[in-house]
Amino acid sequence: MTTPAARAVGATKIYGEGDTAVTALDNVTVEFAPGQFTAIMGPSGSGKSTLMHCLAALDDLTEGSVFLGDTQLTGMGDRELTELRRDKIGFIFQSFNLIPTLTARENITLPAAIAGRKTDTAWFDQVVEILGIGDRLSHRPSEMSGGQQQRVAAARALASRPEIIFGDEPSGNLDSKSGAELLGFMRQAVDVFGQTIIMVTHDATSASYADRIVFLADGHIVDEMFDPTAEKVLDRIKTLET
Amino acid sequence: MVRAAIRGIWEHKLRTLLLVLSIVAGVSFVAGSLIFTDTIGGSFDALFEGAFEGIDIRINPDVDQGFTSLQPAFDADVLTIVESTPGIIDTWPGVGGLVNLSVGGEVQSIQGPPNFALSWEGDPTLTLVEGRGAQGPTEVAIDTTARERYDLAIGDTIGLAATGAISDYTVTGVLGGFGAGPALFTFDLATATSVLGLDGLYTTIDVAVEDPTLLQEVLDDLTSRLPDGVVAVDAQAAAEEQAAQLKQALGFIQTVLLVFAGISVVVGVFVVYNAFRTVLGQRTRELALFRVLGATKKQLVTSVIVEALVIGLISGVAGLIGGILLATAARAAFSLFGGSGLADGGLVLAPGTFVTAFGVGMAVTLVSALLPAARASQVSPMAALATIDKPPRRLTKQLVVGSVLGVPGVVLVALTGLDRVNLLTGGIGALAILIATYVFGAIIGRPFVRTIARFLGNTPVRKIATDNAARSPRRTGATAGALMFGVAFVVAVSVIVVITQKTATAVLEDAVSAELTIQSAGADPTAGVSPEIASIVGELDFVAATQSSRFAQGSINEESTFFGSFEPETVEQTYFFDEVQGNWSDLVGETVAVQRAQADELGLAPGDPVTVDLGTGPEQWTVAVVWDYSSSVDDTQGFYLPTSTLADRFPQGNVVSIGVKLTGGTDPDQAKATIAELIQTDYPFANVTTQDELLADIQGQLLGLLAFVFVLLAMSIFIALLGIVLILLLSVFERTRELGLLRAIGSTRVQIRAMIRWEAVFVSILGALMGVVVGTFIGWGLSGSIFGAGFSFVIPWTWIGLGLIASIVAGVLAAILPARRAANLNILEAIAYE
Ligand SMILES: Nc1ncnc2c1ncn2[C@@H]1O[C@H](COP(=O)(O)OP(=O)(O)OP(=O)(O)O)[C@@H](O)[C@H]1O
Ligand SMILES: [Mg+2]
Repeated sequence: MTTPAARAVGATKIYGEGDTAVTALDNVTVEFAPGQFTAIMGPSGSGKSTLMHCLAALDDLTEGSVFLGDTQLTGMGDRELTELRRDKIGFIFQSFNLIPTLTARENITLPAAIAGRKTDTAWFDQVVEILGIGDRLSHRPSEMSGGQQQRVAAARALASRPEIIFGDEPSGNLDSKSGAELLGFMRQAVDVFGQTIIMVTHDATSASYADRIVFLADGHIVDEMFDPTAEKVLDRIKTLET
Repeated sequence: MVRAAIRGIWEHKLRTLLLVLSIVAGVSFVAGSLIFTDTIGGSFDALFEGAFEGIDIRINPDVDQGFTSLQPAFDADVLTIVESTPGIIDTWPGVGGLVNLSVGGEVQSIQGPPNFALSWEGDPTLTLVEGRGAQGPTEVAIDTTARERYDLAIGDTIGLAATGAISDYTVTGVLGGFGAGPALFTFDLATATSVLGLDGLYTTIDVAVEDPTLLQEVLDDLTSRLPDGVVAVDAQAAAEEQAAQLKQALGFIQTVLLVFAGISVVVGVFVVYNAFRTVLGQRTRELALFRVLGATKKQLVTSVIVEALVIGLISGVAGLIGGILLATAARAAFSLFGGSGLADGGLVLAPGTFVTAFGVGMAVTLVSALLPAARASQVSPMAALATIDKPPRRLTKQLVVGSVLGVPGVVLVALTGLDRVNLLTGGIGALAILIATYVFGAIIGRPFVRTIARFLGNTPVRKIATDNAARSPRRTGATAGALMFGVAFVVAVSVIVVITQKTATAVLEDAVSAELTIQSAGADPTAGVSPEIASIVGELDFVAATQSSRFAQGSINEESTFFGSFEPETVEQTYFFDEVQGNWSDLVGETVAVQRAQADELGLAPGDPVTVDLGTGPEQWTVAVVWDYSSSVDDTQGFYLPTSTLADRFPQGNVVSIGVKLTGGTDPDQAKATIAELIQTDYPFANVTTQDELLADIQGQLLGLLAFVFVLLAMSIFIALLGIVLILLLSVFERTRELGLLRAIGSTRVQIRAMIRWEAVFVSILGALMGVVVGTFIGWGLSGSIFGAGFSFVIPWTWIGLGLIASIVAGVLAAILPARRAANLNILEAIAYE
C-alpha cells in the first residue's frame, strides 16, 4: 500500500488546563490517501478545525503525532514548519484568504514569490483557465465578488503544486451556485491532477463532492463513508445525532 | 461609556505607554526648561541681594564695557574732584581688567568666561567668605567661581599677568563670587594697578554719601564736576540694572529652551493626533456598534475625551518628573561649563511650572483627540455591518490646505532669502511651509514610496511593505511628517551654520595674507597681547611684516559700532584688497578707513569728514581710505582706525592680535615654533597660531554650536521616532489577519520582520527627504536675512548625507518592536481574528 498523504496517530489536543481544560481531539488515529478528496464533518465544536490545523502544520498536538507523507511534523521547529507550509501545503480558508493590497495574480503567485521560486507559467495558465479567473488577474480582492475571491484562493492553493490542500469550509460564505462551482473545481483538481484535498465542511451537499467523509464527534472519529451522495450524508448525520 | 474608555486605556497598555511617552517627552522639556531657568534665576536673586550695600554712587567711564579689555580707565585726578565734592564721606577707588592665569605651570586657556583682576581692600562690593584679603605684591584673593573652576584653595600659588611675564601669588582668601561668568582675582590697589599696568589711572570709584536722602543732589553736583567720559551713577540702581541684565540674558536662554521645547511639543501633538486618528479609525466598527446599541454622538465624543484626559493627566505627572530629571542634568552640565556657584542651591519648582506641565500635557492630548473624536462620532450605525475595506479617501482637502499655506510660505521665505523682509516674517513663512509639507505628505507619500521601491527592485516582501506604506496615505504622510519637522530644523540650522562658517573662514582665506597670528592664549582673545611682541618678532629675518590691530568701541556719525585698526605701513602686505580708494599713507592721526559697503551706506568718500566718538565725546575726523576685500568676504566690522591713534588714546590697552607676514618660502609651522620659543618666557600668554589652526578653531566652535542645537532638537526627533513605532504597532494590530495569512501560506518570521522594517524605512526616508528639501530651502531663506542678500549659499551635503543615513538607521530601530510583534503573532489566533 502507498504511504498516506497525511496521517494522525493517537492525536490528542487539549486546550487550557485544570477545570477549564477542553479536549478537542481525543486519541484520534486517521489516514488520508494521496489523490483523494476527503471531507471532515461533525457538529460544531467536535474538533474538525483543530484536526485540520494540526494536520496542516498550523498547530501542535498535546499528544500523539502527525505525518505529512513520510515527514513527522511533531517536534519540528517553527522554521521547518513554515517551509513545509510554504512548499508542500495549500490553504483555502472560509474568508479573508487574500492580501487586500495585492492583485489576484500577485496573490496567486505569492507563495512562490515568498519562497523565491519562479512561477511555473504553463501550470499557472492552466489553473487560471480551469478556475475561469483569467479576466480578473489584475483586480484587487475588494474589486471581486466573494465567489471570485474564493476561486483566486483556490488558484493560489493549487499554483504551487502542493502535496496536499486543506480547506476549512471554503464554500461556507458562498451562495449555492458559487459554492458548487468552487467544489467542482476542487473535484476536478483531484480527478485531473491527482491533487490530495482535505476539507472541513458542515454542508451535506459540499461533502458529497468528496471521495470519503470522516465523521467527528466530541474529538473522536465516529464513522466514515466512501463515495457519498448528499442523501446518504444527510441520513448518516441524522443517525449520528440520535 | 466612560468605563469602556478607561478599560481601553488599560487593555492597550503598550499603546498607552507609547502615547504617554510621546507627550511626556515634550512636557518634560518644557518643565525642565522652566525649572532650570527658575533655579538659576533664584541664585541670581540671592547673589544681588545686598550687593553694593554701603555704596551709594559709582563713578565709571562713560562707556562701560563690563568684563573686557576694552574697559577704559580714567585719570586718577578724578579722585580729588570726587573727594572735594560736598556730602561725600567715603571713597574707594579701584582698578580692574582682564588677566591671564596659570595654575601649576599650565596656562589656562579654556573657552568660556574670562578671568578678571581687580583691586579689593575690604570695600563693601564683595564679601569675604574664607581667609583674608590680599595684601602686598605677592598675594591674591579669589572668588568662589575661581575656586570651583580652577580647583584652588587657600595657600595655593598661582601665576597671573595681564600680558607680560608671569608673577606668582599666594591665595589668601575667598570672596563671594557671581557663580557664573568671570572668575575674580583681587589684589590690593597698588598690586592690582601694577599687574594691570594702570599707573595713575582708575576704572571705578565707589562713593558713600553722608545723607542718602540728598543722593540726587550729590549725583547732580558730581556730574557737573566730572570731566567728559566719566560719569556718576546711582550704585543701587546700577546693581538692580546689572541684575536685570543678567535676568534678561537668562530670559533669553529660557526663550531659546522653550522654543525648542515648543517644537518637541508640536511634534508630540502631531504624533498623538495621528495615533488617535488611527486608533479611532480602527475602532470604527466598535463605535458603530455602540451607536447601534443606542449611544448618542455626544457619548462617543465624551468617551474619547475622557480617554485623552486620563492620558494627559498621566503625562503631566510623568512630564513633571521628567522635567526635574532634565533640569538636574542640565544643571550638572551647566556647572561643568563654568557655572559652579549656581549649581549649589535646590531646584526651584515654581507653581507656574506645575500649572504649565499639566496644562501642556492636557492641551496636547485634548487638541490631538478633539478632531478625531468629532470625526469618530459621525460614524453611522451602518458601519458596524459594513466590510472593512473602505475605498481610499480623496485627498482634495490636503491639496487645498497645503497650497493655501505652502504658496505664501514659499513666497515669504523666498523674499527673506533675497533680504526683502525681516527674519520674523521669514520664520512665519517657514512655519507655513512646514505645515504645508506635513499636509502634502499624504499626497506625495504614495508615489514617493512606489518610486523608492521601484528603485530598490521589487521583492515580494518589499512589494507588500510598499503597498502597506502606500495603503493609508494620510497616516504615512502624518508619520513621516512628524520626522520631517525635526529633520527640517536640523538641516535649516546646519545650512545657517555652514554659511556662517564659510563667511568666517572666507575672511581668513580671502582677506588675510599674513600666515601667522599672535593672540592671547586666555579665554577672552580681546585680552590681547603686549604691543612689544610686534617689534621683537619684526626683527626676525624670515618675517616680512607685522600688523598689530587694536579694538575700540564707540560711535561713528552717532551710530554705535566697533572699530578695528590697521597699521598703514604694512596693511597691503598683510591683507588682500580688491579695491582701495585713497592712500593708505594718509591713515594717520584722526582718520578712518571705511569698507565699501559701509561707505556706500553712509555716503562717504576719502576726504569726507565724519564724527567719531570713542567714549570721550564726539570729534571731527576724516575718511582717509575706502577699501574692500574680495567679494566673498562678508565683514560686518567696517570701520578701521590707525593702530597708533588707538595706542595713544588707550595707552593701557593691549594689541588684540598681531598678524605676521613671512618672507617667501618660509614654512609657517617652523616659523611658528621659532617665534613661540622666542617669546615664551617674557610673554607666556601670547599664543602663535597658523592660518590653518585658526580655520580649524572656527570650524570647531561652529561644530560645537551645531552639536548644541542638535542636542536640543534630539527630543523632537525622538518623539517623531516614537510616532513611527506607535503607528507601526497600530498597523500591525490592524493587519493581524493579513499577517496570519502570510504566515499560514509560508512566510517566515524573518520575512515578516523585514516587511515591517521596510515599511518603517520607507516612512523615515520620506520624512527625512521632505525635511532635507524643506530645511535647505528654509535655511537658505533665513540666511538671506541674517547675512544680507547675495550671500554665498552652501548646501551642507555632509550633514544631509549623515542625516539620511541616520534616518534609515532610525527607521530600522523604530521597527524593532513592531516587527517583533508581527513576527511572533500566533497564526491560529491571527486567522481566527475578528
Ligand atoms: N484556542 C482555543 N482555546 C480553547 N478551546 C478551544 C480553542 N480552539 C478550539 N477550542 C475548543 O476545542 C473544541 C473543538 O474546536 P474546533 O474549532 O476544532 O471545533 P469545530 O469542529 O471546528 O467547530 P465549528 O464547526 O464550530 O467550526 C471546541 O470545544 C472549542 O471550544
Ligand atoms: Mg471550525
